[in-house]
Amino acid sequence: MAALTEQAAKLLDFSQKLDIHLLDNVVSCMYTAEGEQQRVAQEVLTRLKEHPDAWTRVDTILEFSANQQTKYYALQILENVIKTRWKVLPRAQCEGIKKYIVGLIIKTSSDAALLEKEKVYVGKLNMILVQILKFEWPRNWPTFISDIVGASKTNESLCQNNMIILKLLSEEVFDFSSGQMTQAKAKHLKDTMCSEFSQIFQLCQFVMDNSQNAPLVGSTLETLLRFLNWIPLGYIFETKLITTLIYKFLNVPMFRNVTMKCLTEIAGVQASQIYDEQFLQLFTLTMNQLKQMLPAETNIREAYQRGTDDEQNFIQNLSLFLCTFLKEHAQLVEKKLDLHPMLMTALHYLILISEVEEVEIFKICLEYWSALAAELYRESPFSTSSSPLILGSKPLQEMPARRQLYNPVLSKVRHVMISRMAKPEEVLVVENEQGEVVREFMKDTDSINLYKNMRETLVYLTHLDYTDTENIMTEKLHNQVNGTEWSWKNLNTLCWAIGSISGAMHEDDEKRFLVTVIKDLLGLCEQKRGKDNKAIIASNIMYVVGQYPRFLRAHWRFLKTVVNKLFEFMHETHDGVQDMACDTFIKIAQKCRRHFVQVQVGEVMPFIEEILNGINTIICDLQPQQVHTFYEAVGLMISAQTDQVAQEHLIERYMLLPNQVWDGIINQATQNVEVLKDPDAVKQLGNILKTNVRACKALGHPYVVQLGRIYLDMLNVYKVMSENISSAIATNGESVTKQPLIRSMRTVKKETLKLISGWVSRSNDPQMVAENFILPLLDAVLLDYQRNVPAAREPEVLSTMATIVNRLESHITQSIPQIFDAVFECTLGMINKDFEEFPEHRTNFFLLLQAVNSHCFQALLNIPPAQFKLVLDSIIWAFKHTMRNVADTGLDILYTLLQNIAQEEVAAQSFYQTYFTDILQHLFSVITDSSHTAGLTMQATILATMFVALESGKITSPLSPNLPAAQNMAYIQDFLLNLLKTAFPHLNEPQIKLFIEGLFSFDQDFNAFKEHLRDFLVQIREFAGEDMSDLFLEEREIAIRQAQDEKRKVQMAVPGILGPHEIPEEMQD
Amino acid sequence: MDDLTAALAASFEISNDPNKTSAPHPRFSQFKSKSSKQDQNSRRQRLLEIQKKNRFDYQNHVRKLTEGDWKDEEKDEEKAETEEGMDVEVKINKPGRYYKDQLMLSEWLVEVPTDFADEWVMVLCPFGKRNLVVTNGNSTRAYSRSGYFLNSFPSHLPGGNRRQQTERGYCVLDCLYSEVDKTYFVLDLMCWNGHQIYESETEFRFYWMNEKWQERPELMEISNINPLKFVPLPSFPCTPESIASAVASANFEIDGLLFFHKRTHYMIGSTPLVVWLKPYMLPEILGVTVPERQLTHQPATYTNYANHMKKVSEDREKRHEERKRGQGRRGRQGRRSGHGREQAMESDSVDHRGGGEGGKRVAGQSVGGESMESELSGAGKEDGDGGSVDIGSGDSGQAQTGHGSQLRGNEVGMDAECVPSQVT
Repeated sequence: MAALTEQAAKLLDFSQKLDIHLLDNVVSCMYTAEGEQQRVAQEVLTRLKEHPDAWTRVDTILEFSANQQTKYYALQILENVIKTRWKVLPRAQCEGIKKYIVGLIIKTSSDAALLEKEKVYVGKLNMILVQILKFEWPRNWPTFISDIVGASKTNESLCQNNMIILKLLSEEVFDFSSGQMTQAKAKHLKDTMCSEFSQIFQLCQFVMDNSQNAPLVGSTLETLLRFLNWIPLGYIFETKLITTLIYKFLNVPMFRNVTMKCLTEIAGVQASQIYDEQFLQLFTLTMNQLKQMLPAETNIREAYQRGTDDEQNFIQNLSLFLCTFLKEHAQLVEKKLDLHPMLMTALHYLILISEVEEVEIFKICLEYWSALAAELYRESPFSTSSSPLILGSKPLQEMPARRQLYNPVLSKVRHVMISRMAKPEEVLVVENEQGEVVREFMKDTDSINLYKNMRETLVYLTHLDYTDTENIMTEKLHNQVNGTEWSWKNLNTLCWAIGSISGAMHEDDEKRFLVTVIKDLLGLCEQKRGKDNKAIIASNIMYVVGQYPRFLRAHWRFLKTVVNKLFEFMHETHDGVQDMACDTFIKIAQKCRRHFVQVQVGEVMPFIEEILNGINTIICDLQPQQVHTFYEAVGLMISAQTDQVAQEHLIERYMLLPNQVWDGIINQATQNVEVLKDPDAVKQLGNILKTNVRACKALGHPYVVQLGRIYLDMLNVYKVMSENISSAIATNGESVTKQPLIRSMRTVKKETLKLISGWVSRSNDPQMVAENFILPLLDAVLLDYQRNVPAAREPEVLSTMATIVNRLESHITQSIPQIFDAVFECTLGMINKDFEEFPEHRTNFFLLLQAVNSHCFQALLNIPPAQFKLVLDSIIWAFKHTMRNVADTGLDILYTLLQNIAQEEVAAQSFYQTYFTDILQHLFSVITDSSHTAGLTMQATILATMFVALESGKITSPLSPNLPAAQNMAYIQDFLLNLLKTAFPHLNEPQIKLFIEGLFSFDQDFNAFKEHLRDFLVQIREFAGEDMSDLFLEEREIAIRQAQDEKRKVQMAVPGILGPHEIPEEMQD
Repeated sequence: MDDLTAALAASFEISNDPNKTSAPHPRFSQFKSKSSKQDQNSRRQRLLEIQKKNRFDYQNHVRKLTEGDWKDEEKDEEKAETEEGMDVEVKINKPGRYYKDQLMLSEWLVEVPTDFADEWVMVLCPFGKRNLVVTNGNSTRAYSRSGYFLNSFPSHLPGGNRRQQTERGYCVLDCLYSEVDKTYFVLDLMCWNGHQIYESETEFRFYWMNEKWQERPELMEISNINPLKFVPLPSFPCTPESIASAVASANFEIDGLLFFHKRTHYMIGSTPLVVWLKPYMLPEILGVTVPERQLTHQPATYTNYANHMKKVSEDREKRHEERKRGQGRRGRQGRRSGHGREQAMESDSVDHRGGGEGGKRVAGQSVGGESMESELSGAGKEDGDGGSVDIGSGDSGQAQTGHGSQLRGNEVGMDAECVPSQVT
């Protein structure tokens, strides 16, 4: 071991000649040794790699090393230096490296056998060459393209490798350039490449026409594939490229995948009408070839299952080609009557492929079907089936021509959608921080997204012809009943499909359809034996029923029977049935709530009365979690009672049971407070509070009657729990917080806070809340928070305060000093040591600051300067976090603060004077830090605001101690210049000056400002050799969100596209 | 729609226990149950007979419950799977796996046995959650009916706390837990201090329970070792007078009355040898009067049989009227909307009747909406309700194969009651 360390010293001594043998040893140690030895070897190599002169050893290593891994290691050193320090190396050195690498590549790749053997090594060399090119080409190496094309003609193996280099270059320039290079540079490279493309194209064509060398042809096709999305269109459509691809390569098994990908690229080109003929030719030729290769009667689903990887890929590529072509150019084909049979064949293939049991392939097909169905629907939003609402329609004759053409296919698509409908909801069983097992409904899983897309498609398809959808579903249901398709999976899938089209049919049709469906399912349930079977069918019945609130609302007696049946199932001990009953119950309560508080025809009282009457019996076999769900559901019903007196009466009866238990414990505790240390009592309190939280969630503001009833007792319990926890920690140390009793006590505290903030955020009378509820809360909670040991401080105290400030706004301003006194410094003390500890306190602390800053700014202005400085310091601290939510909050607070302060004539000037340069400095430190790029937009916004303030003369007090206010701008420019010069010594002064000037010239045009900032960041990072793709992260997120919003807007207009549980409440019931 | 509602209410179930108490009492239900079970009395007879032959290793089962050791359950699982789904009319259930399905559950008291006064005892039940309570030598643990672990605490039960040096015994109890009173009301005793009495008759189990509680009254007091009370529920003879006086003198709100057959063992799952009534059902079914204060949970829709029948016929009238109007409206609509809809409606109504083995026969009886209409209006008296009775008869082919016609005669009266009492 010692020897190894000693050797390392030798390797790092650059005054000696490199001992290549020694290096080989260390490298092989790193790959083959174990434990300590390997660790030391790794350390040596890392240190060597980081040495600034390491690259000077590369040529020696490559030439003399016998070890492949050592060579690879040398290339890593080289790549590193090129990426990060190319520009600071002397030109002669650059030329040297360049020549050396080119020579090495030519040498190694000229021999086909060697090329094959040293594949990985050459791959790395190629990559290094491309890195060099990114700096050198075209300015310092204008002849690169002709050089490489010329060299390619000397021998086939060299040519093959050159193709790979060209491919890499294309990828670097066109696919990955964003954020890696400044915008100007990327554009320049693209232009150069386009203008010199003819040479490359000729080379490709030459190879394709003449070469018999399969690997070379393969590489050429791969390279061509990368080119196709950017080369000038003439090369594609005005040459014989398309026919060559189809006739010469498509049917050769070895090339069919890459050829199909090329054809897909071409199919995806959006060109003007001049190339219509070529597109048609692409389609017909490909289809003709395809029929030879893959007979239309093939069972693709089975073939896929049995197929090799290569064959499976071909199916996937084929689906991509068909979907891409049809999506872009189907209209062209539709116009040619004689091509209709061929179009049908293409669609037929696509249907067959849609049946393949590979979800990724299905998603490709789904995207096309979805687009097709939506398009046909928008063209003419009427159903093919006769509808009672459209009087005197003569369906078939009036059916739009396109629809007629696609109609037979659509029915098959319906079949596909119905037979493989995805799972609509996913439940995860997890343990929460209090150690309780809870069920969580997942929102964004792959399967749920697939469901959404499939549902959307099926809804459009149903609009196009609801009879057909209905027939298929009915038929498949019969197959469940007669046993030919019976299985749990098939039944689930079918019922998800049935549930998915809720709202897509006319109400009368929907009713008729549902009656048959439910009847069949009931029959099935009766027919099948065994609780497992019956439970599956029952939950499917309940799922379907829950999906059709419109139907339920229209048929009271049925609705009531369903609910009574759910109550019955709440006593059923078979696995999952109770959960299913509770989930369905709340689903129905949400959508039909009003019907439970009205007196329905034939009833003597509202159904809610009956529920409350029997509530003891209904919930007696449920687990606590299920009871909570049940209470929330009933609360939703009560929330629909608009008469205040009646509602209060209902709430009283509704909370009777929990209140009885609550009162019992409270009464005992008044006599002997020790009761509140009894595990059972604490557990019960936690449970009752959870019930209250759910009740409050459902009832909203009217929950106030119940809150008032328990409020003061609850706060007292809070205090006692907190004291118990503190003293337990004081005597036994922090580890005691893991103990079950202490955990349950914390649950009581947390639920109390959750209840209060939950209610305040739903309350609708801020003044009343401020006058009646806030003072006792602050008394109970704040002092306790301040006095407690950090481990016993609940982060929810901070979030509750934030919620209160957000809701009560100015009504709470006068209490802000009290709140700050209690929570500010002690929390800051917990979080100012690092960026990680107490993450929840951290997040909530800044949320509170944000709330106060936005709603109670006056309170901030009035605090003493020393404390204000603390506030500002914590804002700066906030945006320096790498936890993205905290940093975002910090920036947001700062932005609001700057805006608020600008409104205050007097305060503003002293603020600028004290903090302007400080803020600027800290802002630049995060802007130039790559771990903060996610906040770029907000950082830029703040900067721009600050520069505008400066430029427009809003700052009338001098920012510099030595200069008058009139020179503020010059002072700041100077300040920045010095700041950046010190931070980034590798940038030259003109570069920085240009940047600073730009900041001022662009500050009115936000987008330009941001681009300018971003280009500067690229310049900084080029030196550091960092990855820059994250610079555009935010734009991409926004673009995605916008696209989703747009889509949702369009969808709202089509009945049934949004599921019954996505529709906003006011549009229902 | 009415037929659909009736089908949902009456024949949609997961476990097919007859007269289960989670569903409405068959006598007061608005829908006739479709199940073709034997009547309660004969099932009682059968059960008492097979009870003698039943052999199950309860001692081993108690070990599993108290020690939480279910290792050999894995093996049993397969067997259990195959047994499930067999539609045996009367059988003695095995206990569930793990802590699920360990309790003896009642049926509704539908048919009052002739030996009711002599062979049965009654227990008044307060409101509470049904729990299985097990002690294991260290602590006392409570489980819900579905086997969910609820709570663990010390108690004075044998094996119920850590401090007992002398007793290593285990207990298994069937309790009603009242959260408000912090009390476990003990309904039944299956194992005491290591001695299992699953296969003892009710009278003995109750006797033993009372003996044991007299030995340790500290079970009924709250203390550090016994934070929750255990109070045995007293039992009463089943004469009308005794029931009436027990109900009248009860100083708590009664959830319901449980009646135990004196000779039944402690059987797992639903059994007709334990039956259940709500206080407000007593006058009607047992002819026992109940003080007003015990009737607070009586549903507002609840009436006695005579009133019930009156309301039924009124409702029928009303519904008939409404249907007539509705039919007219729908008819016009149907014509307007063209042929397709009319046909759909027709097949729809045939479907109601045809949903079962008896399909053809019934379908022949009625064609389309019109004849259903006349059938309804014609049936003014006794058992002439619309949809629900029809469904019953559609299935009766199956029912009759099993059991004597005497039974069905017995149930005719009930059929008539099971008429929907409200109409939308």
